[in-house]
Amino acid sequence: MSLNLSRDERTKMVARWFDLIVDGYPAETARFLREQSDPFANPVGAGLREELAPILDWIVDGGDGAAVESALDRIVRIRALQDMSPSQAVSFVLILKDVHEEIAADTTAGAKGKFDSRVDGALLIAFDVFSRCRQQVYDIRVKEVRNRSLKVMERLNSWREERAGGPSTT
Amino acid sequence: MSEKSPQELIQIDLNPPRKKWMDPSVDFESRRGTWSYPGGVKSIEYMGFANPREWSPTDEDWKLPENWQQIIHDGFKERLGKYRSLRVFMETCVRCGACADKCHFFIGSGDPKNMPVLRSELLRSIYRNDFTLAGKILGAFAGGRKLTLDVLKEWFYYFFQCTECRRCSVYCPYGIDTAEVTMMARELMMLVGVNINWICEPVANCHRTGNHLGIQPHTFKDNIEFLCEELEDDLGITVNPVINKKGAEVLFIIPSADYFADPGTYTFIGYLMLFQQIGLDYTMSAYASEGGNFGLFTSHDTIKKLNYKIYHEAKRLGVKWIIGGECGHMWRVMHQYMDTMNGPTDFLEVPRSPITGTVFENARSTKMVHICEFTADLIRNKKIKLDPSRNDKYRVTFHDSCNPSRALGLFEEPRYILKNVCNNFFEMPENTIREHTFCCAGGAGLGNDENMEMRLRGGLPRGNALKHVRDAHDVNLMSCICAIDRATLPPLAEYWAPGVEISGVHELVANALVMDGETERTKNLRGESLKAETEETTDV
Repeated sequence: MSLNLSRDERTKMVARWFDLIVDGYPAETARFLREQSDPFANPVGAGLREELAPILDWIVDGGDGAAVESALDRIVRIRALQDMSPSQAVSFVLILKDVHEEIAADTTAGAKGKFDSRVDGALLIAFDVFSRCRQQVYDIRVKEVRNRSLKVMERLNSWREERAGGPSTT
Repeated sequence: MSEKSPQELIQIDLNPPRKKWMDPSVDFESRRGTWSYPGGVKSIEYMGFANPREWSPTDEDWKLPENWQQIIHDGFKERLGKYRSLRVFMETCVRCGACADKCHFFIGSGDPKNMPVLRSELLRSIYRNDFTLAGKILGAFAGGRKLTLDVLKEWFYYFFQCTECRRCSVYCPYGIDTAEVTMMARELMMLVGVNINWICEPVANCHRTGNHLGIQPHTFKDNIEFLCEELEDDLGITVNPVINKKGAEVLFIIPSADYFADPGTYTFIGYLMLFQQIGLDYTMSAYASEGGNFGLFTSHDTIKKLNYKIYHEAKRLGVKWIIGGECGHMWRVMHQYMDTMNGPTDFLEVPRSPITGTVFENARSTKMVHICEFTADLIRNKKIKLDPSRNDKYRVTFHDSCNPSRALGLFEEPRYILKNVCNNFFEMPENTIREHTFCCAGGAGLGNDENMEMRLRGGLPRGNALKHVRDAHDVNLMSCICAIDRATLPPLAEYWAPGVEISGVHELVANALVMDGETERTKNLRGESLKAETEETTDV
């Protein structure tokens, strides 16, 4: 089930969407995110620049869920770590509703309702991604602590066994 | 329920821009995961550092000495007199912004106070207020501000969010070394007992036993023998580690993580296999059992104190010169401080490889050679036989560790080695390697688990470049020459570029090294098959 949004409308929407997300950051940061075009010097800006269009296309045209999840992952993975509340981290998906209202030519209630409901779908995927990223941060932390002590324990055990079965006792 | 609109919801609360940046305020409670635990009483007392006590950054009262502002003021004054560089760095910044977007913590967090220029302003504003005429008279109008408890709390938050990697300094037209600014701020905080445990404990351990982990000589020996036995069991290769041998030609200094924590242990075994094969007359020291020097993150006096053991052991053991292993900040200390702090020595010789005859002129003063320089010279002179196909399961990239690259200028040797011991080598993008390299975000004492969120934030630029070569070239191994990297890059890779493992350079050297009388090698140093799993399946 496809929504009716022209290429031109989509381009405008992505640009506006990008601006709104970037303006959520402090002014100095927003300027940097907007102006630095090198993807390795500005991975946050590059992620937004490259992934917003495919996310919007998925919302409008539907299609491969795994692909949109991967696009959302690239953005949410970063926001899951920044100084944001969980709602702030995924709210960038929601503001697309306002962007649509502002730019789309078809302003009928039907078109709006359909679009908004697809945005809700994307928001839920973003929430899944966010939860997964947070879980991964906790797992990584636990793993680091565990690995550190595990190695010591392994060696202690090995020495203990060696001592217990060493030449003097056999 | 919140009545906020989506646009309001997305606004990120990073105080500075909405308030003036000079108004400090850090909510430690809500920012757990982005700061490190304070120094433990035992370590502080052992080192005789100031103000040992139980405290937490989340406490309202940090239990500071009553006259803490005066202590910091006096300490600042003393250091401005002692270190001309500090005065220059405090005076010369013109806020051109060249450094602003170069910090990995800024790029990853988006927090403007992680811009190096603004981080330095945290200290510079106090300098202006206390030590310049304009600041004394005009205060905030001249960019000065008073040292309040909130300012100190902000210092703690942001100066322990700098890994002293010096990437920003590469871009500064005045050459301001922001790492030195951070070092000074930390040194001043130490005077009133504001510090972190991940630095204080290794410092105390190192002072007591010679290494960060507090490993005593007998355990040092046991541990190394354990690793050698594992090598014998797994690959049938025998190496005889040499410890505390008087009269050896070379003293070999290593980071303690290399003989204690994976994946550093594979690199450590790599060093020993190489030395065994070429018959190097070397010794390790059970006392100078650490290359790393967390004094670098504490105070100049502590750097000097902890560094001294290297020359002291070189003298006691009667060696001619020193090789240093794949350690990071050891090379910053060695290259930029050791010679003036504890050298120059009159009992060592200019390093000359006994295998190739090469004289390491670059180490004429310090007498200390990087193992990558030593090994690259062996390869160049064809003194070792290598079979790079043994590393064929790896598609390798190289992470320039901050200190060996930016502080030592060691760019070519590790690459030369890797290209000789691996068949598949791929560079990460130009602006993320060599002197432009992005930090692991866990150096300078920040590589602890409680600071994981900040490490992962700061790890984004490196992780992003790594992900790029993983996707473009199927890179599955990132090699590096720093023990802290080997500890902190695995979590970074797991989050940002899953599927990429981390190794030292000499682990790969040892995999490729053809040793006298060896039986056919089917496994690598990690005990894994030399072939990739998919190849094995096809073979079967």
